Order: sequence, then structure tokens, then C-alpha cells
Amino acid sequence: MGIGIGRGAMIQLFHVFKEYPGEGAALSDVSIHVRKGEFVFVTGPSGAGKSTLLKLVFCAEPATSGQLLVFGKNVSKLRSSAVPYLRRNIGVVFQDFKLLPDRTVSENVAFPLEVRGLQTRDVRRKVVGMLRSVGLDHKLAKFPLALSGGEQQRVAVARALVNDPALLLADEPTGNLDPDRTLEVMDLLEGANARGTTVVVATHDRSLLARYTKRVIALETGKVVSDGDSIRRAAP
Amino acid sequence: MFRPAYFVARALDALRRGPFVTLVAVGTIFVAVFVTGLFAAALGGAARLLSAWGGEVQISVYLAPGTDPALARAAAERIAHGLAVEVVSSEEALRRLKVSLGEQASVLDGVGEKVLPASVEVRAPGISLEAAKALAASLEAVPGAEQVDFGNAWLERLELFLRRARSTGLVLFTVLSLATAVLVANTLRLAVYARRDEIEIMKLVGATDAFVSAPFLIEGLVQGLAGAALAVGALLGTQAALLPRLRAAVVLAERVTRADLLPTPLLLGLLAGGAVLGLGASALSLGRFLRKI
Repeated sequence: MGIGIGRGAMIQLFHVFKEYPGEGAALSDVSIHVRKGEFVFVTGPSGAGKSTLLKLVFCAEPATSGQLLVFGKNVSKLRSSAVPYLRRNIGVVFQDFKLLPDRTVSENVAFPLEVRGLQTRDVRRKVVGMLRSVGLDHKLAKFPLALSGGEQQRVAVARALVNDPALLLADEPTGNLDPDRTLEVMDLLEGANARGTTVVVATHDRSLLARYTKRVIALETGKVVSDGDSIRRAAP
Repeated sequence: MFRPAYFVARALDALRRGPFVTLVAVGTIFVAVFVTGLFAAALGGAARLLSAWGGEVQISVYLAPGTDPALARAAAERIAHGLAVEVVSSEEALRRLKVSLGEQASVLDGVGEKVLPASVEVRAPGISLEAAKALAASLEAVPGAEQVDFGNAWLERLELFLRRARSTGLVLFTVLSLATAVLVANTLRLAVYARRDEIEIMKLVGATDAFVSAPFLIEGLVQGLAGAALAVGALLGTQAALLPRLRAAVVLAERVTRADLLPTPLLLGLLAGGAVLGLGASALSLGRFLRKI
């Protein structure tokens, strides 16, 4: 997995605030810990701060105040030149897939491997293996727009997992999918978690929380309002 | 891991995927390098014409009537040491004038043989204006010298013109370079912007700035070199088409060669300039963009 990660905390937030100029606080005094190997849902209504939380974790944005540790490293003290190496251990999946439409499925999935400098032969082998695991090895030469939404999201999951990351962040990964395709993608995320990857899924889909027995962190207006398992949350 | 072949392949692939932006960038650099080269060639040609004129320099010291030509010649030889000195008598001067007038020589019929002053003529090949001025001033000391002439009025006008052309050229070149740099940077910024999703995803999966930048810089270099190479080709073509006409129109231009107008160091400089322009504009536009992501 590349980075030296011991047992214990994968993500730690201590009194984290995030404010955007003129928009107020997106996160307010958030303190949470995610342990290695956990599968966590982050939920809440639109604007609750779910996406912001994920952005802070993969260093797309800095926290306004507070401490955030990822893999035990304080990201606010990371040099900008060190951020890419941290990200190589984090897979990210978005609601809108973020696939390049003018690149084939295999080229899209190959990106993280090329960035790491793998030889072409190894890239090819890993990409084919990864696409096989998400059931799309027969579509590796297709372009994303030739695929269904569910297939595109599976390609995005394949790209996020091809590096065998220690941490997978998914921001509304099923937001654009119908129920059947939602289950396919969730199965892939569960599979990755079963193989040891820590998974954090931001979603406002309550049916997912009811279906999967996982830890759920609920946010409202940037604050943590509850932190527990989904069975208890789903119960009346 | 640094893999030049990988980055070159990605750069060439990007050029192929975005032919319009590539053409605009190459075209912009082509115009910049071509105009610069054209101006440099014009200045080079003018300088060569000036030095060709210098090859014809002849300073005439007109003598007062009754001056001893031998004495004047000896003095001129002392002053213009090592240069060809010739005494032209009044009769010889008149004969030369008649020859130069050709069929109109009859207008001189009845004119006395002593009507033109005798002179001492000094030939000074390849001399500069300043040296010609200094020599002419020294030759005023020749015994019996009434007037010293070396065609200074026209030479001074030419030198003044060249001086002004160089100053204007420098200003034009500076303005043109800045405008071109801005134009090329904006064109390449468009190219970068068109691929913002690719850059964002590359950074998302852990690409360093160097990894993201390398293909763009190679693209800028290739576009710069391509634009400059086309401009150099066009300059050589223009020179090949126009030089024979210039030679036919201006006698002094017979000695002007390709090396005077477009010397090899200039052509190499233009190629290097185009490459630097492409590379610099690419780095500038990319740097601004990377800081935003």
C-alpha cells in the first residue's frame, strides 16, 4: 500500500473548521476518527458539509482551523510537493464519474498507474485485471460515453482502486444511478473494504444506510449531529 | 521515475488530439519569427549596401588654380598613407565629364579646358563614414585645397536612415516580442484550459506538478520549433524570390548574398527564439493554472 500505515486511525479530525469567504462555515468544530479497515457513511442533507469533509481529506482544500491527520500525517503541515504522494494512497470516486471522454476505458483506469511510473506492460496487466474485477474487461477499448451510467461509475471505481489504495473516498457515488446499478457499485466498494481498504462514502441516500450495516456519521450545517451504526439510525 | 519517451509520446498524442489549438499556436509563433526575421534581413541588407558603397569611396580634394599638383599629391600621400592617390588635372576632369555625359557632351563645346579645378583623388575602399570624415578633414591640409568632397551628404543620409531603422527596429522588435509572448501564452493557456479535466484528474490520482507539466512543456517546445522552422523556410523562400529582383534594381546589391540577409547564426537564433517562445509561453500558462488546482 505504499505508505507506512500502522494499525489504528486512518483519518483523524480534531476541532476542524472550514469556512469559505462570504459563505460562512461549511464545517464547524468537526472531530471524528476513522480507523483502518472501517466502512463509514457520511450523510446529511445537501450543504451539510459531506463533500467538503472529503475534499479536506484528499487535500483538495485546506482546513481553516483545527487539525486533520491522514495516515497519521498532519496534512496542514504537509508541503505541497508531498501532497501527490499522499494522494497515491487515496482512491476517489465522484458522483459525476470524472472520466475523460476522449480516452478509452483502459486509458482512464491506467492514469493512476502511469502517474506512479509503472512500466507499460505492468500498467496493461493491472488495468485488465482491475476491469475484470468490475466486470468490464470486455469494454476496455470503449470510450466512457459509450457506456451506461452504472458502467461509467464502475470504471471510476476501477480507476480509484487500481492502485490498491489504503483509503477510498466516494462522494455520492450512486447519486446518478438507478437502484440495480447502485447495488453493483456498492458491492464493489464493499469488496474493496473486505480486502482491507478503508472506505468513506458520502451519501444522502437513506436507502443505502438502511441496507448496509455500517457506521454512519451524520452532518447538518457543518456539524456532526450523530455518529453510530446504520441499524440504530434506520430504526424508528 | 523520469521517462522522456512516455512524456514525448503523451505530448505528441495531445498535439494530435488538439489540432486546432496546435495550428493556432504554431501559426502565432510563425508570424512572430517571420516578421522578426524579415526585419533583421532588411537591416542586414541595408548594412551590406552601405558597406558596398564604402567600397566605392573616393575623396576628392579640389585644388585652387595655380596649385602645384605634385606638391598636393605628395601631401595627400603623406596624409592618406597607403591609399591610392591620383592627380586629376583640369583637362582630365573635363575629359571625364564629357565621357560621363556621353551624347550630351556637346553642351560642353566651347568651354575652356581649365574650367574645372584640378584635384587630388584618394581611393579608400571599405572605409566607414566616421573614417571618411576624419580623412577628409585631414586632407583639407593639402596645399591649395579649396574643397574636400566624398559624397558625404548621401552617405550621412543613409547612415542616419540605418541608425533610425535600427532604433525603430529595436522598439518594434521589443513591442512585437511582448505582444507575441502574450498572444502565444494566451493561445497555450487555451490549450491548457481545454484540458483542465485531464489535469485535475491527474492531480487527483497523485501526479506531481512536474509530471503534469512535462508533456505541456514538450508541446510548447515542439510548437515553437515548428513555427520557427516554418518561418525560417518562408524567409529563405522570400529571400530566394526577392534577391534577384533587388540585384536587378540596385547595382550595389550585386554583392548582397543570402549570408548578408539571412546569416546562419540569425536563422539558428530564430529557431532557438521560437523554441524558447513556445516553451516559455507554455510554462507561463501552465504555472498559473497549476497553482489554481
